[in-house]
Amino acid sequence: MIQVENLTKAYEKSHKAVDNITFEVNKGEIFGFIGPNGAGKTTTIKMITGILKPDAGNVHICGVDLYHSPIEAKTHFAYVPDSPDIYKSLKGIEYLKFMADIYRVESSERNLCIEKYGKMFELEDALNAPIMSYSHGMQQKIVLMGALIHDPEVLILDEPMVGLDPQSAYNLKQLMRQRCEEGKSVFFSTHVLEVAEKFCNRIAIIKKGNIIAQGTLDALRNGQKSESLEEIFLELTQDE
Amino acid sequence: MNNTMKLLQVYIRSTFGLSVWKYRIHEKKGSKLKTMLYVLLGLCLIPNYYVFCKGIQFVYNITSPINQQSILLSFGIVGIILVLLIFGVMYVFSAFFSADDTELLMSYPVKPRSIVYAKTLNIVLIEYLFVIPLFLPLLIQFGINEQFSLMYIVNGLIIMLLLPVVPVAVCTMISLFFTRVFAGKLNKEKVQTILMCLILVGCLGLNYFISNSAQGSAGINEMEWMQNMVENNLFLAEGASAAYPIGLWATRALLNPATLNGLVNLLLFMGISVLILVCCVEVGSYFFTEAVLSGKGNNKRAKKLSVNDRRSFNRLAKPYLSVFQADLKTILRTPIYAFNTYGIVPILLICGGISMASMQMNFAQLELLYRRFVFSDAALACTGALIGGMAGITATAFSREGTSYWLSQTIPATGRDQLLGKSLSAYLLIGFIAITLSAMILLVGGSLYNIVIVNLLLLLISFPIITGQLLLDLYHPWLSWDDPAKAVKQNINVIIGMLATMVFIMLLCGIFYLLYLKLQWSYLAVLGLIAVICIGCGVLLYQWFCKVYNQRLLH
Repeated sequence: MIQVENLTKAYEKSHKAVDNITFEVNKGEIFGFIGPNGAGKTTTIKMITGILKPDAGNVHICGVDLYHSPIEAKTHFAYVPDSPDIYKSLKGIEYLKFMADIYRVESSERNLCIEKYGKMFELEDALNAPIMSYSHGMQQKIVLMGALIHDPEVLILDEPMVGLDPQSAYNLKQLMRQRCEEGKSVFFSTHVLEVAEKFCNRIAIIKKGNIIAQGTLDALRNGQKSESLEEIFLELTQDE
Repeated sequence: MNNTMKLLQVYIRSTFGLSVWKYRIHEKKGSKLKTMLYVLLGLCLIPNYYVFCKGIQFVYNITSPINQQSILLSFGIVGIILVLLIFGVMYVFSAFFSADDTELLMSYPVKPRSIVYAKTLNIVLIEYLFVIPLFLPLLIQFGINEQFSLMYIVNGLIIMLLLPVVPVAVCTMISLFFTRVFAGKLNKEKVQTILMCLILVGCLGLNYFISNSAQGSAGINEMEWMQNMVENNLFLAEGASAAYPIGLWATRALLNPATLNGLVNLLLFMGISVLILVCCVEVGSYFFTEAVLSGKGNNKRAKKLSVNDRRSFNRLAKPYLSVFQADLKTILRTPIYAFNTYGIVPILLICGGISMASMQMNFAQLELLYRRFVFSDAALACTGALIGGMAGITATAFSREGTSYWLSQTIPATGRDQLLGKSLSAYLLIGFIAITLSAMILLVGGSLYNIVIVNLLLLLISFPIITGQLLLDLYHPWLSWDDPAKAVKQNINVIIGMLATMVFIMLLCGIFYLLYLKLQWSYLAVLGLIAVICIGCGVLLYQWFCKVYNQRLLH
């Protein structure tokens, strides 16, 4: 569903933020992307979502080249950034309408979406209020609802659990699992290693712009004495 | 005071981007090109500035023979104060209630008074960007023509530095008072809108009062009025300053800089300015603390979704219409945006009305003026397009998105959708201007033909202006603002957009002058050529926009 090939980005000539990384997210897979601060996670996500142009490499979403057919590729995924910055003057319902119109969601599906996700994220009663009056967590939820409204095949999430209350975080994790069962994919970055360990089918660890390990948790354990993802992560990311 | 200065230092660094500039120059991140751009922009402003200075000289020349040249100073001072009052209130409101740092600062061990002082003084510093370029040439021209002594220079500089203090302090106190009074009853956007309307009405009333006062008091006949002018070289200045006596003290201090009278007036001006600042900040601090601590900003419970809300939600709209709706709602619900864009039409209408009333003009005289020139329609269309271009709606279309710009980058919208969607807000303003112009044409006896010509020309001239400004903002959107006022007030794209608008319209006027007045082409042929030029430029800019959009947002 997501194919990343030799992706490279350098903000300065001497320093590559992302250096020739390659990975793939398969159908029905939850893919975790972890790494220390400044390792290149957000830069990678920005290149996968078309926010940043890479210096080299390709990204295919559902077989569509993101840089060759961006509009078509963008209809296949939804992105939720780490900070829920959206049009704060709009009401929740207006933002959802905006997203539904842009992604050409049929009228019949829109109400179902409000019913389902509004209930799931306990946001039904706040949809008629301006987003600027929402708490951080509520803003995160409305961005999630906007991302889910067109039922994308690929969900790309940057630190999605930040700001969510325990119930909503649990619901989101269930939703991620459910989507995978339906054959859709989820790519997400996180610092919460327990979540990655528990929910991801495969994990990639990025450090200083390079993917230093990727695979299933069992594959990552190979050759390492450690047992938990936390210990593997700390061992791999420790500076020599 | 220590905390105030520390805060002020941070604000100055943040507002003027000093730290960022220093970092960029140090890191050599494209700073040279940007610096060159700013220098170029400065150079482009020189011709406009020259015209402004010539205008000052002209006013001096016509008031000097009647010994009333002091009105130049008092009108200048009062005019600057009025503009600061009108535009300052939005800025003050944004700085206190829309800025990200307000609540955070309240958690620090800093007295609210220090916060209010630092924010107020920072706004005063920002207003220097407006006050100095306007007041300095006035000061220099007057000095050259009168007496350019050391005391005159000292007095002039002190007055210039203290000029924005009173309006900004008053705006601060009024904004904070209103916010406190309406806390919990109305949201801050509504408070801001009400306040803005009140300030606007107040300023326009003041303007009317000043215009009338400067022309002479009621009940005084023409002979008495002339006699007063001959006897008192401050007669007109006193009239102009009637509503703002502090301005008269400043004028007197500049007229007699080396005398005791001048010194007393200067001290009065300085003392009262500082006193008003202290009083307003002290009172404002109380309201500020109460307003912020009350926490009653936007926490009203939302109404449940009605059947109509759901029906509207379910209605599928074209992507460009969705972009337009989101853009328009953002503009209308953010008072600083609404005021800077659509607010311009009622202001100009009221100002026009006041000017007509104070000049005692009627529609018959306007009709004569309208019919006197064959090219009145073209001139009206150019004026309308100039007003629309000066509002700079599309010059900040992407910048206004700020940190939510990622949405524009990730949604599957084409360049055409974005261009149409984001331009429609600007065309809406052009629509308001068109309605106003049509009404004016009808009032002065114009025909349907005139209305069609004016509106068609207005639309065609606006096409490249609107598209060009959007392209400009796409090239270099300013997204890192922390206060919506900065997105429109401190955005270089607005200035470049305004300049480009002026240059484009001047070019069109030049073509008209050359072909119609000099080479004597037929009127309609010249208009036809102008239409072709506008369409050509607009289409080129449209294609350019789509190309840049594809490169930047769609890669």
